[in-house]
Amino acid sequence: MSKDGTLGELELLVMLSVLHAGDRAYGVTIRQAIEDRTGRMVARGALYLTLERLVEKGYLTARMADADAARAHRPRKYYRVRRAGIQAIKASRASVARMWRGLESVLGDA
Amino acid sequence: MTRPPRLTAGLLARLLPRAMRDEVLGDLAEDHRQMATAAGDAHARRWYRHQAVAMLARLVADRGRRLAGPAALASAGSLLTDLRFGLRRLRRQPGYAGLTTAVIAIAIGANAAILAIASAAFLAPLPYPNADRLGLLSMEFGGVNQGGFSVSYQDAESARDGTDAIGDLALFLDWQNVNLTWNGEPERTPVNFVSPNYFALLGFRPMLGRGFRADENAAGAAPVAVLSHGTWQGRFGASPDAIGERILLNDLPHVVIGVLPPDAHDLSHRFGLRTGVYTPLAQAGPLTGLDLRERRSARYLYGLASLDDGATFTGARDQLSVVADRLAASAPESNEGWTFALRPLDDVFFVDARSSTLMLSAGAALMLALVCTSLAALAQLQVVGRARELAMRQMLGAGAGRVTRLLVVEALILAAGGGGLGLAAASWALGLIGSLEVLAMPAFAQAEVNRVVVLGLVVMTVAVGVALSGPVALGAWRTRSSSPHDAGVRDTGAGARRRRAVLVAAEVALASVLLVGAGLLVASFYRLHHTGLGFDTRHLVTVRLDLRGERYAEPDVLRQTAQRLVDDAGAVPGVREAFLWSPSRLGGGNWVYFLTRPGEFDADPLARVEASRHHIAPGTLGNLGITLLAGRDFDATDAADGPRVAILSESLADRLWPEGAIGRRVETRSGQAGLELEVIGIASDARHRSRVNDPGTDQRDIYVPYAQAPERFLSLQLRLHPEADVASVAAALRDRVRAIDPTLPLYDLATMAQQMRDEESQSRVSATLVAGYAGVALALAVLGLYGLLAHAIRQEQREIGIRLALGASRQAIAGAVIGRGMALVAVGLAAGLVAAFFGARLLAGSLFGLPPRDPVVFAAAAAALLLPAFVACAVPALRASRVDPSDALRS
Repeated sequence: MSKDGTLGELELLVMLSVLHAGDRAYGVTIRQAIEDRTGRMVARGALYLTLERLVEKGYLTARMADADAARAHRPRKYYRVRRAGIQAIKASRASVARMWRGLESVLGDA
Repeated sequence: MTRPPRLTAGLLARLLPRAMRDEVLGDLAEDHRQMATAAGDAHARRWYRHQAVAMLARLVADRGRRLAGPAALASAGSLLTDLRFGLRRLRRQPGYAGLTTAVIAIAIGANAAILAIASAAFLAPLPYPNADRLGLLSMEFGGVNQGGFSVSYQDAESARDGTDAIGDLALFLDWQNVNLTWNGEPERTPVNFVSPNYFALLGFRPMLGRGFRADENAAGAAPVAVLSHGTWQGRFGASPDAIGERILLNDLPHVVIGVLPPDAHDLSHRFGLRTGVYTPLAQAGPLTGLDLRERRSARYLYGLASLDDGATFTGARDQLSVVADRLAASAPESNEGWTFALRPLDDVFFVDARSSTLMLSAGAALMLALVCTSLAALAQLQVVGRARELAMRQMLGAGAGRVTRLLVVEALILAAGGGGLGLAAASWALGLIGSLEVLAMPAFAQAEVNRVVVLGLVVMTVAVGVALSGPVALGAWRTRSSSPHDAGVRDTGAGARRRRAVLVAAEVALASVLLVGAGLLVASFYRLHHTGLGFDTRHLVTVRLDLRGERYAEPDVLRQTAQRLVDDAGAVPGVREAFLWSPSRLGGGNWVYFLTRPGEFDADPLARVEASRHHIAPGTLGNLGITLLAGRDFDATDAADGPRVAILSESLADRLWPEGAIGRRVETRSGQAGLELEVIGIASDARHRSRVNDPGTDQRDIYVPYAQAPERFLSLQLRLHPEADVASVAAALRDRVRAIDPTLPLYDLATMAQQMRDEESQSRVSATLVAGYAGVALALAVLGLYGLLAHAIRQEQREIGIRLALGASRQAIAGAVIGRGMALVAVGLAAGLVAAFFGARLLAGSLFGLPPRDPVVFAAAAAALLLPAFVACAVPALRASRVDPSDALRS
């Protein structure tokens, strides 16, 4: 969302989830990974729009493969994080970390 | 395996952006499957629909935001709120919402289905190059087409040679089936005997091999065959090696020389016949025994004529009439009274479909217009009824625009819901229509939901939306008063009320016409369904065989084979009795004898009586449950060399000899030869061919022993054990037949129950269709009536209050309201019944066993209208009688 190359919260979650899912990162597994780790179910429409936006920004690449009967013979869209995506994740973490700095007394070390 | 709900998935597939389609649908399908395993199918389907809607809403909002930029954000958000609010409001009035949606769905669905048929009938051109230069040549006797049989070979040659307007003429004969054997596998296959130029005239180019050469159509030429694409795929596994293969047609060897492409649909295809194999016309003689070329009166062929450059159909017809006159003079015995007819292909295939389609379209459009008008009236009442709530909203600060938008959104939700359901209804109806062979109209089978239909659907939905929201947009809800207390009291003037009363009366009239029509068709279907055939049809299965080929040329062989077939079939497990009865098939063709008393056949042609001829064996009548009323059944003494005998049906016997027929001799012709049969028995009447045809006329049937009149076409009847499985009996029977003759295909296997259902299906469809229309019309009439009265009472609340205060009884108030409503109903009903009385004659042809002016049906239709109409009056009447005078006077 933001213009400075850092990621919005949902975008960050999606990017990290794609990394977690590894070779098998597509809609179902990405959503699952977010739910497993955060307990939060991402709205389907929001997920696809986010993925679309991340591809447009050049943070993700996608390819279509593996259509089978379990999914009505529609191919899966597999995502991978590009170099620019890794940098964006790091930049996001860095900016959050900067915001944390100096608040340890209030927030603890979490 | 569980699948996502088809309709939702299909809609989603259409609505999703292409880039996202596979991904989203695939993921959803996967999740759906998991959901179904975890929580059950029903839950998973609901979940799927919910996901689809939620996601689409999100996508639409996102696209809108991107297009319109942040400025539109707020507006889009409030639209979403409006939608949600509208849905909630509609849920609180389920009666109004449900009924409106259903009425819209039926009206739009019917229109969409008819539009699909119409677009197939009008917009799809014939798939032949120069189709507008092609015509079908046939002959007419006394200006009437004689049962579709058209030209003889010799007449066609005269027509081509005697005119210069006809550039080219191909002949074809397509109503025969042959036994096609290849690799030892026999199969019954429709054959089309054609002139070599037939393919060229239709623009067909074989995709493999070649078409026929002129010399291959000469008598005695080496027999060759061209396969249809379907046969090539089905029988030859689409192998290119099929060219040069030797196949047997009715036991005669033919060499395959070509294969047609898949889109080569010949003229027969448009009549519903699926040609499997083509051979030159010259082969028709050896294969079917028809003497095509010898006699001028052998009118078995169809002619496909193409006009010469610059010629017109009118010019060609003029020249043809000259030829016909000349033939009538030179060959009066065969051509006296016969004339040529040349119809453009477009007329042949589309005229019938077009006129019925036009009628359907007019009806559907009328219905839609009526639905829109009624909905507009209803919506107006609905809004006025809510005027108090809306005025309150306004006072609390909602702008006029905002309130209007709220109401328009509600109307659009209803219209869109109805439109969506209508689409589903239309595709369901088209599937149903397409699967019914009885509706053999080509346009019906080809109708589908195409772009035109979808476009029409959108237009209709918008029209309904406008009708529903029109009154709102025009500010019907707005009141001049600033106080919510006064809102809703004022409304339209007397003129508007009178107009609405006329509309309601018209709706009642239309509903009663349609109710009468539906009643007639339903009663007719019911009677047909419960009419027996006059013989025992339970667990009865018919199969056919065609004993073609040289080996069956001897009558003795025919007899022996038939006997063996019956014996072997009787031994199949699950078969209780097997017996001979040919031909036999509901709705199928019959064989006939023309009969007279002896000596009258030539002396008095008008005395000839046409009777259906049945070839049976001793015991067949008993097996069928047909009672022998007098005389005796056939027995072993009625052998080939015995005296020729026959059994007559009661009606036929009464027609020929009212004084008693047993022992009489009846004269007929077998081919050209004279024949006399002795009547040895009289059987009860049975409807062998059909319950539908000529239900009122006599059942004239003559039974002859197969032993004395063996035929190559054979119908075998099997009476099964009640629990026997038809498919396994068929398989076992096939094996036994193969053991007798491996080139003999068993075909047209059908249970009598299935044949009876097929026979009923047209009646069932039209009854359902008209009943559906009648239901919509009734719903509209009742809704309109209710709306009118409810509204009137709301307006006259003060007056009612005054009357009550002055001492009027509550019964009198209710009675007055009911009286007012029922007076309208009476006017509409009377008009409708009169119209139905005169219009019912149009249905006479489709009715079975009851007159078009059946009084019971008319009475039932009136009752079916009066009852709900009374309820529609009673509810507001009750409300009127409960008015509290003090409240009414104070408000």
